[in-house]
Amino acid sequence: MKKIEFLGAKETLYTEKLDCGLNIYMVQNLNIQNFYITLNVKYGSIYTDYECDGEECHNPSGIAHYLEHLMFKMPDGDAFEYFTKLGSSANAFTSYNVTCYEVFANSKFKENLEYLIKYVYTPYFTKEVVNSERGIISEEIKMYDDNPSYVLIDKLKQNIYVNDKRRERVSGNIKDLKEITVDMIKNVYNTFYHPENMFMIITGNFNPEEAIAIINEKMKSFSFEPFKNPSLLGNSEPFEVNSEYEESKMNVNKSKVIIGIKIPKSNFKSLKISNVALRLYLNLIVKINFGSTSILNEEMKSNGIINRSIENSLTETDDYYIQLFKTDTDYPDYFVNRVKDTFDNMTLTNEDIKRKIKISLSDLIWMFDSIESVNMDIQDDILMYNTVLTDIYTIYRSLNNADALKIINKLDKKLYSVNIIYPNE
Amino acid sequence: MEYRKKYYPGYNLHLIKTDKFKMCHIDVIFRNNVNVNDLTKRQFLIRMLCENSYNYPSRRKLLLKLEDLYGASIYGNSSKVGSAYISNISIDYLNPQYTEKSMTKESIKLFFDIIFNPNVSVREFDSKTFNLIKERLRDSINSAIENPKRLSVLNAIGKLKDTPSAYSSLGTISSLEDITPENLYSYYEDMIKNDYVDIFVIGDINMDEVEKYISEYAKFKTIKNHEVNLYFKNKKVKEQNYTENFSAAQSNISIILNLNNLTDYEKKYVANLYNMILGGGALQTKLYKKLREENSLCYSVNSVYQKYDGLILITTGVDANSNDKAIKLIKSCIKDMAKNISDDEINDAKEFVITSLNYVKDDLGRIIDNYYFEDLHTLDDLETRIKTYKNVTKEDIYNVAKKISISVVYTLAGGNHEEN
Repeated sequence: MKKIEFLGAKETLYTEKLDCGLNIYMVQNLNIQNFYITLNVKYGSIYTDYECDGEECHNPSGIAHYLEHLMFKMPDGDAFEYFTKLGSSANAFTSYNVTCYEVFANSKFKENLEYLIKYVYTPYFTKEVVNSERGIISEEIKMYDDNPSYVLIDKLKQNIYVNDKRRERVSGNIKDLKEITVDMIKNVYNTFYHPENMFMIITGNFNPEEAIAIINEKMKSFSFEPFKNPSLLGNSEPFEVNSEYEESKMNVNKSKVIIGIKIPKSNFKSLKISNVALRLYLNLIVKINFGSTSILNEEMKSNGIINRSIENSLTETDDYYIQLFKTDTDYPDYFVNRVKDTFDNMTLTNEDIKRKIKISLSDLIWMFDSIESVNMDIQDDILMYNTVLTDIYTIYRSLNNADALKIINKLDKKLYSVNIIYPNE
Repeated sequence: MEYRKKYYPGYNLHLIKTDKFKMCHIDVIFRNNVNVNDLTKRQFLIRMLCENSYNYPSRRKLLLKLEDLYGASIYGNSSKVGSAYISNISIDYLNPQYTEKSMTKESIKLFFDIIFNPNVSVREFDSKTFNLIKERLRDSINSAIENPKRLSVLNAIGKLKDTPSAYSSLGTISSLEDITPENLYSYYEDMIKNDYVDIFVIGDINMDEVEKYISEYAKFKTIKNHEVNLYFKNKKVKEQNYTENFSAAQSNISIILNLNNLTDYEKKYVANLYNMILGGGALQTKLYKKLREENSLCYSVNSVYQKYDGLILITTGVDANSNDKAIKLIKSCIKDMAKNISDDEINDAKEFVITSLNYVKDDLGRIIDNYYFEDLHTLDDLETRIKTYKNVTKEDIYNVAKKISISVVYTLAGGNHEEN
């Protein structure tokens, strides 16, 4: 077992790779009683088309999420039932590139951990269970159809991504559900749910040595073929958008606006700044110019354009950064122009960047108060960088004004896509 | 964890020393009898106080100051609990051992400056901030149409008559229009003077030092001796059925159950277990099994026990063609609760509740809630609670089931769904 210190936070990461290929990441917190375990599969909604053993497989959208629902079915009932008896809360979620099975509890560590492994490695897919879950997932999809904020983002993704499967809903749509068969489910399970393609993260109150012993012992009950290492099929994402603008109407109180900016990573190639640092820089630059302490927010609030701070988020794909800005406003066109104009003329001072670094370092320490946040932070790191960024403290400290300005200068090549939902009359 | 309570003339000070968190947190909790005409004003005031202050007269200036304090944050909330308001204003700041020793004093000073030095001139709140908060609150009230589930719940409780339970804690647009910078300031003075005040401090800090600063900056002076009752007794009414159409893919159903004449023990313990078995908390509830697992009717179905209102609220979102079937199944689950609870169901519910009680110890907000409501005598201490829950019998739950009646069945009927 390896031990690595999280610099600046007085916390330790324990890691271990088991013989079966499963990677384990652990952060202990003995000041509390709770623990949180996630078993993650590097398989999400974007993995619909792949090649494995020389054979091409094409699946409907939503299959990863469908599989996640079915995973809880066991030959002797429902996995939730067992966790309920332990008094634990179990759940799961699917996103673009991961399916995560989680359990949160404060006692019976061994039982919880063993059962999490047991149910995820016990496929039980029959025609009957596949069919009975279809109605439930349909209602889940309709619930999102009735949520304007979700629809707003959903439409933007369909417009900003051309080939990237992020354009499809994680759940798929109702038509996709009808096409999903037991055989497809079995096939993707056998291809992707392999310890080599999975990792476990444990945070909270537990003993790392004991955890490894329990997992090792439990994994012996399952046998695995060698991992086939499927490769994703699909065309690379072009520097284009499907549509620069779309508007629609829904039950909303006032117009909802989202602006997406597609920025090629190639813009920054000549700067020789690492991927991790680039992402931190972009986040800080956007926070300074668009965040709750920005002049822009204050100005638009005092002009009555918005009454809450603009929401912003950054997504990273293989070749692009996708920056989103979102708000509710009665003046969508003004808002869009003002945001575009500000993005084209971003600036910052040495004091701005120092201030935001100081806050980010506090947030890093603060994060360790939540075993869920630590767990999810590690998950993000593994999915994005295939390692845990225990040195992020040092990276933050190396950020500087000069490099930030260079990055701003490289933002000229970009594409916009805007989506607006107006109120029904 | 070490808990101390100190009595000051205008407030109670609760000091909780623990090394569980890297964060330090202070909560000022205001409590008074609810006045349904002032619900919006109360919300307005709490938001106003947290937005900025006399010394930091814009949000941006206040946030920059909070950044100087290593990313401290100040926020507030107001809720309606039975027949009382419980409103709080809070600050979180990083434990000074990670920053600078002076941060405790600085944070406490700023925090109470926000409360006692609002953005006011000549007995009126700053009009610019006032207008901003007014529009924000208007959006919060009006945005119910963006969330069919919330809309269904609000419409359903709105059907209850002559009770604070019928109102959203945000109040109404018409009461929003009556608020002025001037009358809001009078309301502020009234709250500072007449509300019961409890101050909670939690963190791994020197509590003697904290107490010294708080007694200096917390200028709550008035001694209160009026009665504030949390419990509201809703009257038993005949079942009312409503269906209203709404353009949405799903139908959202809300059912309100009235809990009639429960004893103190039933309110505190049995009704909570009843709710856990019916549809609250854990996943394998009667409603979940019946609607989701056996009939694939819905993705989510829940019930919430509103202890202080004496109500249970059931919500679900179903296919628009299944409204009647869903209501029928929910009613059959309610009937089942009076005669058909298995040993497993009651044991699982107890296990779940007791485990949840243990989570309390690791959650900053819930630690405070726990001490607060224990102090108000609406919660027993943790050990008593665990012991009492263990001894609740099936008969106890059947007895409560007999005291439960359906008040409102409300359907917000959707059905414009086109398959894409």
